[in-house]
Amino acid sequence: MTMLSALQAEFSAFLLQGADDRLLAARVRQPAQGETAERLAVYGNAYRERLRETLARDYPSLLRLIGQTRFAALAYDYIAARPSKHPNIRWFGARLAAFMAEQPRWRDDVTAWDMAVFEWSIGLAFDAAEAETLQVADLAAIPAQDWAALRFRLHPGLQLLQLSHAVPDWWLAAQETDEAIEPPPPRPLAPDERHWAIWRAADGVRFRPLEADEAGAIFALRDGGDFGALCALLAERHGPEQAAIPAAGLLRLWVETGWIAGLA
Amino acid sequence: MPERHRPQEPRRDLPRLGFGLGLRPEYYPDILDGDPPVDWFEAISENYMVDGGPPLRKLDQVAERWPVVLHGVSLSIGGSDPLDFEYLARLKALARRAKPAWVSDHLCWSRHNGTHLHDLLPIPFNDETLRHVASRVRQVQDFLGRRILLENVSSYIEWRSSTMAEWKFLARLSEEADCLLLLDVNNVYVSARNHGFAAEDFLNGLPVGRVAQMHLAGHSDTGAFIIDTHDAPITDPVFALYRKAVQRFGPVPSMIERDDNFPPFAELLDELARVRREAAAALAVPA
Repeated sequence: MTMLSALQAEFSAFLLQGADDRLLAARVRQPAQGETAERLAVYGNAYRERLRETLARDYPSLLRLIGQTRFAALAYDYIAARPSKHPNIRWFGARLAAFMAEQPRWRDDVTAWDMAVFEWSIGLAFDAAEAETLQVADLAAIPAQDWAALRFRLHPGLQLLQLSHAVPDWWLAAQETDEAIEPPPPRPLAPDERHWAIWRAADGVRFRPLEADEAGAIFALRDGGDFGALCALLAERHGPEQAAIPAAGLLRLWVETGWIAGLA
Repeated sequence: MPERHRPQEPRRDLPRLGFGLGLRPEYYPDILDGDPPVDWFEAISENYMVDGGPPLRKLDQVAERWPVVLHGVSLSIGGSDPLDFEYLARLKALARRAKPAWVSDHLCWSRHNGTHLHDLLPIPFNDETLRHVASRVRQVQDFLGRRILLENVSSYIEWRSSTMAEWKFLARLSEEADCLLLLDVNNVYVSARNHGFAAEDFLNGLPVGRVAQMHLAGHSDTGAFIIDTHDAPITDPVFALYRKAVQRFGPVPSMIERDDNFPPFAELLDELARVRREAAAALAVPA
């Protein structure tokens, strides 16, 4: 190990694990004023606070939902357990929901977990890659006999998720109300209300719930199902004669909303 | 006598951009919906190293109307981990898109053993580090196909293993790696106070022709030491040091970094107007 790498290993351990700063202090010159420990503490505090602020910026509604104190506790737990593996701090918070699901302290707070999933998905939609979108005219040009085997690529900004509480409503209410007024807690969602889509429209990020038919169909399409499979899925619910029409209607709706990037 | 500015070889191909501001999302409407008297903008590279969406569109809109430069925080040029060529590839792609007048980062380390510490951490200033960093700067410049600027960071500690002053290290690095320097005047002031050296020695130790950009910012004074916070106006002692820097390095493109406690945009424009006046006054002083 070179001198430089040994020094950086010790400094990293100090920042990441709060390792004994007396070891590190031996490498540091006595400052002109004050103590070495307080100088090292500037780095230690900055490390934790910068990451906590990053999480607060990425999860503002989660912070409001669980409050400053619990959010800070969650943030410090996460910072200690999941050091950043990406050069861009944009991605530091990516594993927060997964972390919460694993932790006894957080895994039972399903509302908080829902909000973490929802807010991170909003961010994913926000700066996802640009893509061309399929147009209704493109669909019209496809011969009828080719339809059953059609597969589609979803727009990279489209996020499909399952939530157990109405955190999107809470998120909206929180945007519209003063910080001092807490919206009522998110209500539990019935099983057929739990699927949601988030996407980036021309004027910003949008979201809406998916009804059972639509949810089944778009998840099937995302997982590589063709248009025939989509019809078969709807036929189970509506009978074979009725399946093609709602399937075509859903596809047209998705195309018009810009969810479909093209044919796979 | 300190050297005074004159045209120098290394930076001759860089445009004289004038006086700029850091591009921050908080000010997008002020910037894009108006016609502010700002000559150029400095964008934080990582903020735009995303796949798409509004951040890149905003950067495109700014770059259509103003010169931009890219300023990174994650290169870790002084790190002992290998260079991250995936990161550099993204930076290169961003530079192809934004066409910056130049690309800069910091003389520091920020990653160890694959973990990113997201801070600008000080390196020891000695021959071993100098060889290591110079070699990495050359690799980065070869990969990006352009000279880079490296900035002096604020620091709160000094390593016992340092054998030369920071300015000496920067001067030698810029010559050995043929890179340019981004002089952060506030960081010089902060580190000078924190470590008890004369800020003028720092300025006088840098080669005139290598300083291609200057940063100005505010800081927080704890009494015992200063923290580089970018959350307050530039202080008078930093302006005084800036005047000396302009006298030495000439009308080098200068800009204000503001990263927290954001004032109304008009206040930043007033502060930038003062930067212009201070530079003009410094240049008007006879040699």
